[in-house]
Amino acid sequence: MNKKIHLLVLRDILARRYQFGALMVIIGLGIAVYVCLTVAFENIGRSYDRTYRETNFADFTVEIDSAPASTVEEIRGLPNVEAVVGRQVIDTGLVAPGDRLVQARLVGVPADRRPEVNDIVIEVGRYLQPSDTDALLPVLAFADFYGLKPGDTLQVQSPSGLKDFEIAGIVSSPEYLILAESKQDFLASPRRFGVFFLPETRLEQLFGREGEINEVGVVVSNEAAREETLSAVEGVLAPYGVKVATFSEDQPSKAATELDLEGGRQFATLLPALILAVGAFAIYIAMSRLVHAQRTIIGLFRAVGYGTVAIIGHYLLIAAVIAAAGAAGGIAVGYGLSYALTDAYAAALDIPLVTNEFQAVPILVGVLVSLLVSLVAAAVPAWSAARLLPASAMRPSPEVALTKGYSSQVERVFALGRRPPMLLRVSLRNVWRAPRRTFYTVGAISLALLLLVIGFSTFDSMNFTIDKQFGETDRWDVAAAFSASKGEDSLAEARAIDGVTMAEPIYMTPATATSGSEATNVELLAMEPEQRLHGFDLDGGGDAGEILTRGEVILPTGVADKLGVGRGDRLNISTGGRTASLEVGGVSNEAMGGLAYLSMATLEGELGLPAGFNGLLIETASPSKNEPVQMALYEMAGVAGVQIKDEMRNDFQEVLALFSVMIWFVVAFCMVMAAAIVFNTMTVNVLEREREIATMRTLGSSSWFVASALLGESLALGLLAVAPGLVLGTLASSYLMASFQSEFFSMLFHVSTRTYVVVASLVLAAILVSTLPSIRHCDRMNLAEATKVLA
Amino acid sequence: MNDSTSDTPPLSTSAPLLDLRGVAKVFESGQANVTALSDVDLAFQKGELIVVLGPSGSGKTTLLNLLGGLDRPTSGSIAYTGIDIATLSDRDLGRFRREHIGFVFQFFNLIPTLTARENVEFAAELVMQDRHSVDETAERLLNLVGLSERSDHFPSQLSGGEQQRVAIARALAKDPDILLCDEPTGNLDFRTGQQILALLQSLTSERGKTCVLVTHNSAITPIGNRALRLRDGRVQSDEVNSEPVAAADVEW
Repeated sequence: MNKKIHLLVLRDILARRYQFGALMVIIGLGIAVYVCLTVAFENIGRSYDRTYRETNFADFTVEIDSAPASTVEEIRGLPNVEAVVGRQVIDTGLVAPGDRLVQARLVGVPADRRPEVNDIVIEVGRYLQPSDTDALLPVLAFADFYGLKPGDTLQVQSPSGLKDFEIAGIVSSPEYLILAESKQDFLASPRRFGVFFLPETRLEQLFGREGEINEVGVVVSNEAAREETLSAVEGVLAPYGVKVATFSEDQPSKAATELDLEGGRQFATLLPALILAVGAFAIYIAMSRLVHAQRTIIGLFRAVGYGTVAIIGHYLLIAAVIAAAGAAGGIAVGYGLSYALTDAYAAALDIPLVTNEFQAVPILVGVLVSLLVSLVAAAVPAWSAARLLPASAMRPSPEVALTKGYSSQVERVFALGRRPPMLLRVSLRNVWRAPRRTFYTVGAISLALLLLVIGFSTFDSMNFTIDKQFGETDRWDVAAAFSASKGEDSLAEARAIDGVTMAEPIYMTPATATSGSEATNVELLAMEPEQRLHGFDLDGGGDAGEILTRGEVILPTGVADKLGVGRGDRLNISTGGRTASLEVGGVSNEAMGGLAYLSMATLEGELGLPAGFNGLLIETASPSKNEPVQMALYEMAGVAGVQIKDEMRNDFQEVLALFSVMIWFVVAFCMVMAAAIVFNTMTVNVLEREREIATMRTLGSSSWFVASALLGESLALGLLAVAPGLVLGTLASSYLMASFQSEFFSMLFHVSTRTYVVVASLVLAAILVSTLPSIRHCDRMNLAEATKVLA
Repeated sequence: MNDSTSDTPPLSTSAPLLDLRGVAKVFESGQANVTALSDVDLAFQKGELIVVLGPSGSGKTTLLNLLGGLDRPTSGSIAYTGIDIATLSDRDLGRFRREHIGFVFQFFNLIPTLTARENVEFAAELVMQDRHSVDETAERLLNLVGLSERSDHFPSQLSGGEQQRVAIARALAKDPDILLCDEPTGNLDFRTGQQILALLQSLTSERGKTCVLVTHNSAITPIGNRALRLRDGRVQSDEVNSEPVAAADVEW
């Protein structure tokens, strides 16, 4: 190939520097987002793995009622057991700064050595010493929230009253990287929940459980054989009332981090893919117009002997330059941002052991993808250039024309049946004059709309989910949990508290639900069938009270999906060493999963749990009564925790607010993209119509007329994209939400009318703004020269 | 001063429609300046058909651009009925073009997305508010140029000659005093070119339009009642032709 033709590559790019600059920006954005998110989430994943590995995270844990500590040595002797820990885990109350009562999970650890399994990482201060009796180690999230430091004192609620404990150090725990109290409350806020590590002997003594354990954590040598090992461990613990066994991937914090990572990885693929698809559209449009504009040059080159390969190579080289520039910028920016994102993420989640390793694969993929996208997009225009016959190519380009009446119906619709004004005719016909270009422009704008709908509908779905969960499902105001089963007298005591208008007993206990080969850990929530403080939204309707009375179970959507069961199916529920086969009476659409609802009578009759309750759902007379009722409940014997629903709701919203940052990031990207696309299209439109526009100005058309015609054309393109963009966005968002469902949380999909209006308005505004440079160009046009432009 | 070889007075002794005094146009091109026009003194009267001739680079098109208000002179004045258009604002210059100038281009420059009728209406609407007047004007002018049967065709569906006739109808739609035609037959075959020239001739003789016709083609000089020759940006000759020949009688 001759070098002269390639000299034109640089000149072509420089001549259209703003247009090609916009293309480079779009490709660069796609690559930057891909590299940033891919590298960051890979490093975050590695950081999690490193933390789990270095803290010897349990492969499985088994909760039991109570077993002698000596069983640990028996388990240690089992095959495939590499390490084991037996400990007490007790939920109780704690007085946080400001005399605020919060839920505390107390975990016993040896004071003379580090835990063999589920070790902790000291962030500030020191680990426990054998001389420590009344010392504890709060997790970092709680300490940060309340501004605690070593030396501060906290009061722990015990059967013998409040006891002072001094903070020896502040720690991170692999079990609470996300402060998940349980699968049902996996986004607990440190405002109301904290985890504290205490000397095991002191904890046992404080709660009268000397020499006992209620949880065993095991690390296995061969992970492939962990199920057999678990069976063996359950065999040893069977006499002591096995409640539930949990594999590491189901451990609430780890499951939540995995879900989070999975979401991030999907995001890291989907978002760049969409941006690059838009980039491909834009490159196709720009290259097509370049070929169109250079017909005579192409004809000349063909006439003097340049071959097909040289012509195709010329245009592909331009695309390759765009790809290379976009990839270089995108990789540099994306890689730089990935470190910032990893650090910010690790800091937000208190990941103690962060890994930021160099990754070559995303860079390589970034380069290849940008090249692939650009070359594929330019291939058709390049091929069409190579196929031009020299003689026809060297003739002045035929005007792009319309056939008679081509757009008259559309115009009439806009003009309500009358002959439309000239401005409307000029604007609309320019939309139709190049249908393929219009199609790709509309396609690209639709993709920008699609991304915006995904972004905004995520907000809608979050708000809808929160409203549904805390408005329709949870109808109680305050909920109390007890460490042991309570009777009628306690219920009467609660009902007598000032401000309580209704109190309903519940019984919660961990269980394993199994259907076929699918199994999951759930919290059984037994209630009276006639209860009113939990609202069910049953698929296909039905009366929840009747279902519960019939002895059937109601599952939240997430759990039903996980087990693959629906109404009428049967499943096995195991707890405390007993298994019952129960029919699924209904599936309830609710956000929080990890639960299974049944009646108190079924719990007692089928699963042999004692009569009584260990939780209360309470309705108060008014929100102002919530805190006094909470304080009064804490006065009751055996109370392990009291939650106010409004606080939970606020906590939930705060956690989701972190997520919002990423969504706003997407929204900003979409706006830039929509603007870049339209800027590109309108620039092309104006450049190739310079003579036409200059003629209008020469005839005496005002700048206002030309500007209005261009804005009208942009607006028409935008309006054409609105419907498909909103529809596709809704479908894509619905699909994405479905992929974010898990057994313990279901985001309920919802798009508000406001979202459609806002998204359409934002894109149309971006479109109009990006038309302004073209208008300015027309305003400054040299009319004498422009009226002679041929192509 | 100019290099005119003729002191022949203009056709009319009344005040000129366009009066150019000491007009010069210099284009800055990097470090070198290019003088396109220099010391041009000219006066154009109502009803004249002026054929402007000269080789490439002689300043023909620059002169046309200055007359039409598409460009401003570097020095000198261009008075239209006494008003110096060189001093007008962009906005007023736009209005001057809209109200007084009709352009006819070598490549027709029709708006491809508008039909023949709509191209004419486009120009008419610039100066007329009344819908009925616009319709009537388009109808009348398309009839005048012999295209009433083809009025709903788009430019791509018309021959070159038909497109140029639409362009002339469009130029007339604003009822301008002056028609500026840049190589109007340059892209047409001989027969069609003759028809276009005949049309321009009738517009000057019967409707009193002033027509400045720029061309490379000296064979069409006799159709005008004045021939202006430019060379190197100066007026080489300015001759009156008291007996123009009919367009149908010229050949090239």
